[in-house]
Amino acid sequence: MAPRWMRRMQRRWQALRRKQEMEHELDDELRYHLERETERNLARGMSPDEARRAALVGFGGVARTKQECREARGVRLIEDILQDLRYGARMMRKTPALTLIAVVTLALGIGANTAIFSVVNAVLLRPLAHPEPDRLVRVSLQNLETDETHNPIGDADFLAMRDRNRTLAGLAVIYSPADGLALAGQGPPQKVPGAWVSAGFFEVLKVGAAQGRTFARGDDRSGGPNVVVVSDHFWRQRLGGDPGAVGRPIRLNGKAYTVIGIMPADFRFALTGQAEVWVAMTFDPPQSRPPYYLRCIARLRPGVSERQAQADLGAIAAQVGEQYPSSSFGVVLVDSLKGSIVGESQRALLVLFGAVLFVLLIASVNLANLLLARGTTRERELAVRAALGASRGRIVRQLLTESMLLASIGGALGLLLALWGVQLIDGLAPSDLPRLEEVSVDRWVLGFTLAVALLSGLMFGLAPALQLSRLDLNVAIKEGGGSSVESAARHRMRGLLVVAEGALALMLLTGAGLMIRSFVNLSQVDPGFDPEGVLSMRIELNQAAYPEDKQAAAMQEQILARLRSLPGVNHAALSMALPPNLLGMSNPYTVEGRALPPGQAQPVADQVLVSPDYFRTLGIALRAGRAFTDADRDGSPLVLIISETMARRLFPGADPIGKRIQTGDYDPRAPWWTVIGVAADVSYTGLGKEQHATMYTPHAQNAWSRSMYLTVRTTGEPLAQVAAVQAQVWAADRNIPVSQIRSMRQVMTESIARQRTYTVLLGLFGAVALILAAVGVYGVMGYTVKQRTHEIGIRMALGARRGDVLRMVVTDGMKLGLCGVALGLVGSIVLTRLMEGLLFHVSAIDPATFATSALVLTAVMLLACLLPARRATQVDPMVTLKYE
Amino acid sequence: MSTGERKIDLLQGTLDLLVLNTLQGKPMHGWDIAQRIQQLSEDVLRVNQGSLYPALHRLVAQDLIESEWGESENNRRAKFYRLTAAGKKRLAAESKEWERFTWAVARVLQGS
Repeated sequence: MAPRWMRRMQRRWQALRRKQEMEHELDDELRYHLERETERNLARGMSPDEARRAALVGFGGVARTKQECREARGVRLIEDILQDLRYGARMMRKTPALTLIAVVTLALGIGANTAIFSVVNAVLLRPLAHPEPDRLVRVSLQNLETDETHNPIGDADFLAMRDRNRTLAGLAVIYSPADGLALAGQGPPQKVPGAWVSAGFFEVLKVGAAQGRTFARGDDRSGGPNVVVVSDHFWRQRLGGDPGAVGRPIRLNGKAYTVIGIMPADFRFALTGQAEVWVAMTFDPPQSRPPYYLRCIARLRPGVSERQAQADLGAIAAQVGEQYPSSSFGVVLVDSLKGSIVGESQRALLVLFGAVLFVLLIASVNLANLLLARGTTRERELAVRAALGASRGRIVRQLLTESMLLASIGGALGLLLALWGVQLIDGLAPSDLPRLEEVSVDRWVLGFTLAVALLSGLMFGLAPALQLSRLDLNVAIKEGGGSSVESAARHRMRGLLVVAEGALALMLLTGAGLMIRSFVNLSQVDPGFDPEGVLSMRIELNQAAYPEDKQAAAMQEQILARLRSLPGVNHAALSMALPPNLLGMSNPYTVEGRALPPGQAQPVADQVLVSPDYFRTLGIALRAGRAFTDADRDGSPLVLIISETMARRLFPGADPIGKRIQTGDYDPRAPWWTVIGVAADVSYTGLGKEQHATMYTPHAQNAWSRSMYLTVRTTGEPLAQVAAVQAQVWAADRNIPVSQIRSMRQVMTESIARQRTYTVLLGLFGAVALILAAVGVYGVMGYTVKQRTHEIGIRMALGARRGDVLRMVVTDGMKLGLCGVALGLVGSIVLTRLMEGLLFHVSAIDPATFATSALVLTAVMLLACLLPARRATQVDPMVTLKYE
Repeated sequence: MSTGERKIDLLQGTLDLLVLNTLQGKPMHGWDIAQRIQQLSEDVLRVNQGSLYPALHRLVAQDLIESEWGESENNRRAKFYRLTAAGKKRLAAESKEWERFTWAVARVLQGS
């Protein structure tokens, strides 16, 4: 049986729906009673008329009884609400301008909140879209020498951990090259986003293929089958949705692979980003512990904690460390996979979310003011209602229903705006924001919108409703619409709202100001090279077509020679890394005569393999010695250029030229490289990041890399040369895929895209807050001036000059405004501290930013006071006094 | 009036209790209920007919009684009320409470 409350609701609902019918039934019931009563009276000997009258008298008020019956049935509340809604709708139609302002303000506020929340929801709140996501962890290494955490792991660690762990249900590694994999097929060679993964990858995530199968154990062993799993998108776009696609061969990076499975359309994994192909990587028995290039994920066994797994894997890594004593990567870290994916974006998203909530708060305060002002013109109507017997609660309910109605309409429009806003964010947000593709409006977002709409309705509705319902009937009815003396309480409430608005707006402004300063600092960082006029792209030679390093080097030299002959091209170079944030690799090194005893960790530096013209192409200054030349080639003495930072660290006060260094794990029999130059510091790990030691070696002396960045310094606009450069590359070998074509200016911009997005959004919210606050103050002051017209008229009749009036009004307004500014400064000190991790070279309580924000807000508020004040000075005393 | 004494008007809560008690037997319609209470109290209690019907509707809303249209003894359509399970429980509880109350009041009056 249905619970009692449900039946009760059902009955109420029925009562409402079958209102007509219920009324008839009530009539019938009462009529029957009266008939029986009349009959009895007749039986007692009364005349028919008498009998009937006696029955009615005994009953006492049929209409009242009916009303009481209706109330007893409990439909009153719902009927009241419906009545209030109808009434509210009528009021909204009667004041279209106000309604429009309110609805638009709310729609924007709620829309922005919903849009940002949908991102917060997808990125931070929603669990990873894999079965039992809580058991998914990231496994990483800590570099003991540099103290850098969360480093990738190498083959040796992976194989050992996979085979020896006792705490995991599965462990897998991922290597996703930034520029994807070269796909050969019809048309020009192209790159597809993809990742190399170990065979256990899909098993760890617990996902199966939609068609075919995922990898089986052993698919990643040395000499295993060359197999690949592709995405639904890849299957539809590149394989034409072929139903027999499973088993088809495709060529990736010059090698033939068999498609063994197609993933479901909704499969996404944040760490492999937009990957369309997952290739089973194969592992040979490792010769050394480095290179560290594999990102490692694992699934914990049921009941195992991250800490237990960390102890287990740590012991294994220690064993691996003993096998390779010079390794500096000691400690294993195991942490939540979701946390590691969300990473840095958490703080920024929460700051943005807080900011957008503030905007809605300010909007709500504005609306409260607006309703309060309108309420004054409604005093008479409310007073009549009260006089006719409406209780205070009933009037509050009516006013709240109206504000809820506004909020609901605003919320509904806001939701529509948010749907559009989510797409906007999708386009605007930096591509490295994790899980962005998961952003959608789901039931949590809908629930949030509903809650925010209702809360804001309550917020901006409650204060005016409570104020307005506290009426002095006599005054209100007598005075009618425009009462000239406002109650002190209402005046105070208005003042409080202005103060709150000022405080909120200032907090947003300082937050935005700090973000902007930080971003300006970041974009003014000297990257150590000259990005103007340089074109960059990535080219990749096919390992199968160029099996020997010499062949690859010859082809690369040919490409450079062709490019140098192009008109408009000054220099061209190849490199394994690109500033400001595209580091290719780092390597341990040893200075001659300072070899460390075995077992002690070697220092590590970023290493960049470059062609001779690299420094000239990118405009990197040489501080000492010479740059590489074509003479520094295979067979000639091994040479090396180090960065200023490295020179300062290794050879303080000494001339580094001529010193000898070995790269890689120390080997007494390995050759030494002679330092021939010192280059200016260039950042490869991101603008504003700590400067690493960097060493450059000639690509020609160590041409193992097939995948390189190509940079070209042009005389004109670099992007105008794209077609010509591409044509020269393909003239050398038409199978070379060219990708990531950008000017270095673009590369610079993209490297700080995330910070820019946060700055733009926060700046936008700050600007909106400023406008809303100005509108709010203007509205309140304008209203006050109107209320005081009479008083001002008297003052002027008594000899006050225009300047006095102006001063009076402005002083009144600015008292409130400055209170708000003071409160806002205090609030900012507390709140901006939360932004600390986001700021670059600016303190969270930067005095200059605080002062500027306070000044800007004060100036805007002053302006908002001046306009109404000027109107006050134009009051004609004669007119106002007569008018009264 | 037959006793010549003043009749006692019923308070709301008391009326509810009497209605529930009256409905313990067979289903009844409103007029019957009023008559019956008057009869059983030997005409001491007067049921204000105007407040009887709101009380009935309130009890329905509280799920203590339920209603059904049927034929009255003189073959006319009338609305009959019947006790629900919840109503029976409430009746038992309220009766006990009433007894305790009257007992206590009687004790106080005797004591003075």
